[in-house]
Amino acid sequence: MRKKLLIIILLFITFNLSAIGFGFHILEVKTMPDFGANTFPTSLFYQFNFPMPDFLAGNTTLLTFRLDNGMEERLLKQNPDDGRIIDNDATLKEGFANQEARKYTTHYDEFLLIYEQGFFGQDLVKFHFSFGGRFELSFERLFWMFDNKNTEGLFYKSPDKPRYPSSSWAGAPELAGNRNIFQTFLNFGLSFNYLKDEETVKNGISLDSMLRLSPIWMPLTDKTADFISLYNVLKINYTPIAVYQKGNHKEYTNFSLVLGNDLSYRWIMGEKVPYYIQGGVITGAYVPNTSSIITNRTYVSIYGPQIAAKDCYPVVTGFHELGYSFGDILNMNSKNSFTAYVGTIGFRAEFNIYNICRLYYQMGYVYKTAFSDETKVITSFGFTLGV
Amino acid sequence: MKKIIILLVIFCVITVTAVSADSATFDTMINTVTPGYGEIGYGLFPVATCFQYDKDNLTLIKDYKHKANVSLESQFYLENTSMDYTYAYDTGRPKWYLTKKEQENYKYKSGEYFNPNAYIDFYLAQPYGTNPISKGGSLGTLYIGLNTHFSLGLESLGTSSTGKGFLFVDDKGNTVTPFDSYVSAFPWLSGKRQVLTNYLYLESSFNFNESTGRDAYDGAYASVSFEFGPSWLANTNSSGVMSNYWRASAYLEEKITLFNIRQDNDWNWFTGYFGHSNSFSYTGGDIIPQYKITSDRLRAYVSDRIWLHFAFPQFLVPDCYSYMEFSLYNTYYFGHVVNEVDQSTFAGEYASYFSAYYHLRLFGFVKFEYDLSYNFFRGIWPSFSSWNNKATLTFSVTL
Repeated sequence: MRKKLLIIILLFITFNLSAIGFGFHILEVKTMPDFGANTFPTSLFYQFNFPMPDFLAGNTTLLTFRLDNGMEERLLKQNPDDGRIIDNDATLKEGFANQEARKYTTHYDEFLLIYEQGFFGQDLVKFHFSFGGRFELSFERLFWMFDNKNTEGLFYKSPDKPRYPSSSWAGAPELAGNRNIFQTFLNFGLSFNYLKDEETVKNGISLDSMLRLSPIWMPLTDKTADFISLYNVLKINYTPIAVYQKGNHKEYTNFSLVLGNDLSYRWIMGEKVPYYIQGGVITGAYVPNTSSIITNRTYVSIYGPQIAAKDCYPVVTGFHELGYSFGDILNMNSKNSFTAYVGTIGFRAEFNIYNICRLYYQMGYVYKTAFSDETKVITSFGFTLGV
Repeated sequence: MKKIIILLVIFCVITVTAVSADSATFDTMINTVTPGYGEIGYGLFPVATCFQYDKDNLTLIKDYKHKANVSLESQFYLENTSMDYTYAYDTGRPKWYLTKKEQENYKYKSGEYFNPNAYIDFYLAQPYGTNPISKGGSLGTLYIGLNTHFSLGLESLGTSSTGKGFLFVDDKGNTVTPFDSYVSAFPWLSGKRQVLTNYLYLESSFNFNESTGRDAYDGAYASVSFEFGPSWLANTNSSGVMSNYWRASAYLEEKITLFNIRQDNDWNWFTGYFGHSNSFSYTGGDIIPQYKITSDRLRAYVSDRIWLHFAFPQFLVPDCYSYMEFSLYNTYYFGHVVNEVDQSTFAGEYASYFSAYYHLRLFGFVKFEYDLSYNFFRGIWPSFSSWNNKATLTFSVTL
């Protein structure tokens, strides 16, 4: 396995080196609450685009290598033995005297080699194909056995007592065995983009679809994944009001109002669906892991003055998010249909600096959860970096 | 409150630097956490992430010919660290200094722990003067910077798979001795084991050289630096002082080009030079943080290095080439033992080793390094002569 991986990585590097030089990049930096209170970065996502001749005049051809690596905290959502949803089963939920014990930590590395081609002028339609691999190592939450208040872990109920001694890990296939996985996959994507530059954000409509294949017969995989997923996102933006500045920066705005809606549909079929592909998360609420999930986010954004540049401004967004799960529960031994919806309303205040750094404060009120009438308020404060 | 203030300060630093950046560098290093929980990703996947922002062409002094730059670098890395049992945890006294009878009362602890680390390093660099040898460029560069480092001392990854083998706690989660109080020799493992340390630094380089080809120079280069991490610089937490140190370092090197053969397009074909350098470092203070611990914990060293450097042809693009270095290092470590409470141990040791190093750069963003070395002698803590080798693959992207 080690030799095969080494060969693949060297082939990747060799292949990438056939392109001389490289182009622009995307960067995203993420933090963890348990590591320095979100102050220090714990993961980094970036890509480099190798210059390619455009095969079709007026459309872009891209060859991209993307790497995403870091550490994150996760919450166990399904019972590893049989896939039952923990929040939907009072006995399972009560099995955790300390709900913090449902958390665990994952170190991950994902790489992708992407080929993308635009069509119909100005990339109105784009097709992309990619091959990628993902390594993950999961272990107890960072502060497990840190002191006598943290003796209950996810994998060990107490230090001498494994919580899931069964050899069956249907509900969380990536946590089976030594919790050390490597999976490979193929992506096929098609997107339609009719967005035009406006005062603060691009207005118009876009539709993205991506099919991911990660069957058990993929080369190099350790057989901890076996699924096909289809992910579709429809985005609509509209700026009805814009008040422009006077003087030297007449193209800048003092105020603008943007209305938007993001609708997504995610479908998955397969025997082993790992955590990272499950998706369907909305602010503050868990959208149950079923074969079909629809999420919708409707929002109104009020942009303040553009300062020094068009992409430097404060913005306040009010949003409503809805998640709807239906179909069979994934990673269950037997077929179990399930339907639920969740809903959140909230606002986000953000200061965007040259589209590189975003300082934000967000508050959400989860008015409907999937398994009870319980409501909750969640807040978050931090920064994101991205180029 | 303190965390929030630090958070805000770092936010501001990141924000100001990021906003003003007109170039940025991203690095990720392939390394392993060993032995730990198996080996992360078969040892082939990154466990360290580094990114850096640079802002060039800053005018600090009106009409001055040299522009300044600011840089912000952040790195996150995972380590599985061994607790060094050769130092008594209560006194910091080295085992090698004690008689056999004294060793009977020697208090030590051994074991591994999981050690995620991150740092943010922010500096301002201002070139000055004119290089008298090359008649162009700057004589030197003055750096002033701040480094903020955070680390966690957690049970090793292996405990997540076995449910036992804890270093800091017993099976009931009660903190065991000595970690239940301040650990003088290992302060970063005291109490909460969440350690934030900071230090300021000032550095100046001096250039008396001129380029004669790819990686080849004639002349001399020197640098002096001073680090300062006092207890009042947010280096104290509820467990006690985590850092209270200073370090002065100096470096001097001379190079003579042996040959310089060019290609028709003036790219390098084959270049060789001979180099010699001396370095000196002294670490003062009573609490040295984990990542600044000196070799064998001795406060000072003087080092001498001679080496031959051969750069091979540039191909495809200027930043595709490789070089080799053959070096002989001789170092003398001496002084009192750092983090020893009563500072009663004074020792010296001599170390000598040979290194053959190969470096391959491809298109500026892939670097492969291989280092093969042979230790002739290592004094105070006797070790046999041995071969060592290490390979590193680094990706680096510059905007």
